[in-house]
Amino acid sequence: MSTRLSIEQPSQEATTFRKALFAVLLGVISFAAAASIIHLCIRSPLNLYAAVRSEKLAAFAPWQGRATSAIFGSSHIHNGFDPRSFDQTLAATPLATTTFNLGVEGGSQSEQRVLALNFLKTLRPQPHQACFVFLELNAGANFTNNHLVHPRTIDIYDWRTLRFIHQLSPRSLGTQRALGRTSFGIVGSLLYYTNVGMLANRIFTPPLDQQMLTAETIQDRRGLYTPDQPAATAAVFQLFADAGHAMTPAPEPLLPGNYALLSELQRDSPIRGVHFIYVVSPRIDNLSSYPQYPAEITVDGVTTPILSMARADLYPDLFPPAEWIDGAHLSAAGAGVLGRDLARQLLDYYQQHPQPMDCGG
Amino acid sequence: MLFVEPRFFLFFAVVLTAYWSLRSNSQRKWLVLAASYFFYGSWDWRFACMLLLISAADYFFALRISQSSSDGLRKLYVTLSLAMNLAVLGFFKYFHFFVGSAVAVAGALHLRLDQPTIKIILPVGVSFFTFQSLSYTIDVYRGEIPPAPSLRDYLTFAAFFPQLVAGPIVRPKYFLPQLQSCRTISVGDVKQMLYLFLLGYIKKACIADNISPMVDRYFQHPAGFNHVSAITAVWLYATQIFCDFSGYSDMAIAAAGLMGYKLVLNFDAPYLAVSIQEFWKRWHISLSSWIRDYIYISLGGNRGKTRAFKYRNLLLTMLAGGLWHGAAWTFVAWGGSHGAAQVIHAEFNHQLPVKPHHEPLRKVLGWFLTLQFVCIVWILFRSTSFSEAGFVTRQYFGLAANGLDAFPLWLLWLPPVLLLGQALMRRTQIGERLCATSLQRFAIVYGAAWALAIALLPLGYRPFIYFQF
Repeated sequence: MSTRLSIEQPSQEATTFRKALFAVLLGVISFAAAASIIHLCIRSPLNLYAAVRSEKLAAFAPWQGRATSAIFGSSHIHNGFDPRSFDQTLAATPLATTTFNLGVEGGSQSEQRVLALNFLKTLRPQPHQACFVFLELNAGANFTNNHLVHPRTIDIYDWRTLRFIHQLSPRSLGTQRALGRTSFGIVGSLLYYTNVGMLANRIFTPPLDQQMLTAETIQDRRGLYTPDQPAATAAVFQLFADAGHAMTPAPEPLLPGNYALLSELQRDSPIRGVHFIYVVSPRIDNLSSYPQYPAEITVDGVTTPILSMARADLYPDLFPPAEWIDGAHLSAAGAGVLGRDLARQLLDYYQQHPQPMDCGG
Repeated sequence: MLFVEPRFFLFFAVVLTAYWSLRSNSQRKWLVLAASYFFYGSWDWRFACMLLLISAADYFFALRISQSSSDGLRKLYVTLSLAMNLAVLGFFKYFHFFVGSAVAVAGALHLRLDQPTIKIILPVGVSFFTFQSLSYTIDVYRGEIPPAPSLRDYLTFAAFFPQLVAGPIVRPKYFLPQLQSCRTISVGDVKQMLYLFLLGYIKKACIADNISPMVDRYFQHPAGFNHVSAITAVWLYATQIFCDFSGYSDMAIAAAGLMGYKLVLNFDAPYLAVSIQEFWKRWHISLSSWIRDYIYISLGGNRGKTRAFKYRNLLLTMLAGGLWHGAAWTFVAWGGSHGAAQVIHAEFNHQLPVKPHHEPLRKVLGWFLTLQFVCIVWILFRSTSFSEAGFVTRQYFGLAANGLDAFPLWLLWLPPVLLLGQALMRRTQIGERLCATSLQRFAIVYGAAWALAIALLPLGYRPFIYFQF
């Protein structure tokens, strides 16, 4: 006989309530068990299905094993680093390498961590080869909401990523920011461990954006994407005018996550002798003040240089309006200049701090 | 706020908990009313105010109709209600359609008319709530129901959140009496409603939303695809629109059911219909019965002396039904095609009555032809112009130049497999059997099913197709 909730006697109601509670508990346990089984059945959990990312991985596929260096980070890198000028500057030096731009629009620390770990597994260097992994120091910690809650999900928020996000969220950042970063990571992990969208992505794999793919691969661009947007617009000139030329240094703290990332990459790299380098991407407002980091940091006995391109005093070629399309993104010409200048700074650094270039040894 | 979004789950959990915590029916109705306006206001508060005004006006008109002894006054009030509801619908939904058509006709006559450049935002679910409101004043006018006992009750009926934005269209004579008593729910009902909610969620989120990007890809550039892809895309669209709309209806019925309210069945496996008449008894049942009662019967129904009179009414009703779906001539043509098919089928049945020994064959043939017809005219429904619809139809039959792009072949088999799955589910009564098991067993299966559903969920929420109607 069916039980009517609202007309029962209190004792019957209590029994029904207990039964309902027990059923809910069983349902939750069953959900967790089924989710775990599905999770274990899904191979290769790293899948960057969201916009731009799938295309980036497809563009990189033919370069797996051929590229000996890669740069990771956000759109500042995606739009602002030209591997061609970088490699050309290093050609005929002991640092000669073949570089791929694996920066992506909206890219974050969590993403560059996973991408870099995977890139290291693809390395097949010859003896006496220089290999570099460039990481953007000032990229955001997490994806933007748009990329996390996207028709094509990003399945990278495992417990390691969550720990990494926590390391990038010290209290010193301010409670709101630290809490925001961590909460985002927790939500990402919930989505990851409950497999949200993971089967949908695999069964109904969305087609690649061929236009984006072409834009990142034509003329040997190797991942560089320059948006179809004019440089040196009136808005850019205005930003330059507003920025002035004070060039005041603003000390920026390094976060525990910045150290942890290097430690993890060095430890997990199957190839020895890879050089890790932190890069600080430039913005127009660096003309008024620029972030000041130490020149290098040492993690587990290995020293990693921090190459800051945010210095208008050191890289004046980067700061004419013609090199910019907006306040934070370089033009195609600017990307060429940054590639060249970064290579020169790298050469300078290794001339002053000689180290063996032999990741294939 | 969509039924598949986490914030709806949160909203509904809060409402449901509060609802069953309240003891008096009056308090519960206030809660449902407040929740309904919150739900609708989450899209746009301005339209929530508009809904409030329309509902209050209709309540007032119905009260006047029932209090007036003069036929003239009664007629005046029902006309005012009709005019108000149709004006709202006409302005928000059909303004650009009628003006655009007038400009096109003027252009054909070499007259120059400028299209006004006002931008009108379509209030979500406007076709549903205006039809629902209309049926209230008409029913009171016809003497079929008394006016709602209080303004609160009427506002609750008109804005009831589970079915407010995309139906099922609920008749006042069916729903208003339910507001008069404190609702109760059995454990068996809870299981049934939870099952229905999950089924609807799977249809909408796991099937329709996953198929949607493929269909969009084809219809954005049909010339780039080949013949097999055209068939795949049309079949997928037929699946998408069914899963999207019936999934929403299932969730609406279940959400209402969990509060103890019953809504009418809106879909009954329409693609298993063996004739076009039967299709319309199974597809969007609440709308079909609405247009039958308020348009077809008002036009005279089949009370005329000739079959032609009935056929004329049938055609006019279906044309109106087509226009209800969207403000474009393609929708009118879609409704007209269905009307024409019903006329042809009725005439065929009249000329060649069913013989008992032919019935099984006729059923199989009828099912096949009905399904093919329905799929082909969905092209009109999905296309943005007649030229696009013409091209897709030619490509569907292999009469248009082939493009290079193609879908994976397994997608062609997906719609038939899903249809077969639906037929098997009905035959084996899997839902009924699951609900008949113990609460503990139900909870175990239910939890596991949700884990699978979530893994199949694409994260980009797509609005329900029928929201635009």
